[in-house]
Amino acid sequence: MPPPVKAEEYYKGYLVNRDQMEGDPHFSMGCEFCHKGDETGVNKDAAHRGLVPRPSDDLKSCGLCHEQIAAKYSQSLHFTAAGLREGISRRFSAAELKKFDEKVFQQSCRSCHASCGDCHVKGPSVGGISTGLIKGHKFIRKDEGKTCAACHGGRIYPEYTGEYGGEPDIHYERGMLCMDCHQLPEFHGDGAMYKSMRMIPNRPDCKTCHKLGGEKKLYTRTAHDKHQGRVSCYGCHSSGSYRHCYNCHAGQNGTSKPGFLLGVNPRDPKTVTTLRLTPTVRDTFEKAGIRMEKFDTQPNYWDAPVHNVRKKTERTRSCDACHVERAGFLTNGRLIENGSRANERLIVVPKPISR
Amino acid sequence: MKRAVFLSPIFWLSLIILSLPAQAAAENNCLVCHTNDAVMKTLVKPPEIKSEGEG
Repeated sequence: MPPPVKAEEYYKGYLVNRDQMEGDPHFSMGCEFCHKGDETGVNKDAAHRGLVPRPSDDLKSCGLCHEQIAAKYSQSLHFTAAGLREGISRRFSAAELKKFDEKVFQQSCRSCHASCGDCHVKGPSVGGISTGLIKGHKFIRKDEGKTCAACHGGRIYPEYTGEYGGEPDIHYERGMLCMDCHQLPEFHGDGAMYKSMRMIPNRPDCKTCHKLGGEKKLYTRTAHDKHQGRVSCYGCHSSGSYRHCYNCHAGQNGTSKPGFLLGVNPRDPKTVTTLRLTPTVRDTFEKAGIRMEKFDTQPNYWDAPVHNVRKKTERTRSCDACHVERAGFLTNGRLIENGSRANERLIVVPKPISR
Repeated sequence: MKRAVFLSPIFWLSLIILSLPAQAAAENNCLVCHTNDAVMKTLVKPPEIKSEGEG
């Protein structure tokens, strides 16, 4: 996650560095051009009258100069937040989905969209808190640790850096950050409007860099041959516990706990992978009058591309970890209480190895 | 010759136009506060923490 900001230093996120404004065309038209308000106001209230704190929420502001990028971005999942809708919509009847669109999506889920400034100017606001302007209002190309890490700081980023405890992802240790695997179209969009991130072409794939068949050790090559198409890379190479979220969203008292779970991939039932508990519970949308008529058709656990990859893990060191001890596998006893009936379909018992 | 230049309306107009950006900068009260550590410290109140991060 971004370095924590002390309460007494929170104001620093609003400080502008006058020196770096020199020569940057973004500042040539003055503050009012983007932020409105009144540059001549003699106090905070007067100057902030009509202020637009996040000018890039209206993509036309950046689109004045960056026309093509803004046009594509208007269709991007980071802006539309459509992935959140797609994920939950399968639990709704048609009437419930209509109600969800009217009462919940725009007001709640969609409020999490990212605008241009959230990645290029200021740490995005999460729960009403932002780490503030980056480098005194410099317009930056990227700074994953201050931008991606804020929105994805609940699970993905701290997994990656090892801030949960446990080992950091090997790629992080080697100096790689988000955009070393995730390509620009995943952020800016490619002009198409996708319903889910899984529909975006050319998403990161371990095999792009780690070609199968090129393994140096016979043991490794055999393991890959045996498990290819049956177990995801994460299934063996996730180093251990990652975060699972319970009872969250429109419900109350959302909590998170570490854990490691292996089971059937609900999107690809022929493979076993790392699963993550998602926070939707039966009464999540009760306040909006949505009972989720199809709640039990969808599991509460979903395939998770866990960002804590290591070359050597308990499962790569010994076949027995899975095939004898069955460590980490989802079982009836580990399922959440009052969860979806579809959860049971994710339980798998690894076969013993004939020796 | 020098006298003619100073009396020319073009000279005075150019002088006014060239001085405009400097004048605009001077009137930009946003920067007066937003570049002043001590002032911002008194104006910005940290919000309350309400929730954990997402995704």
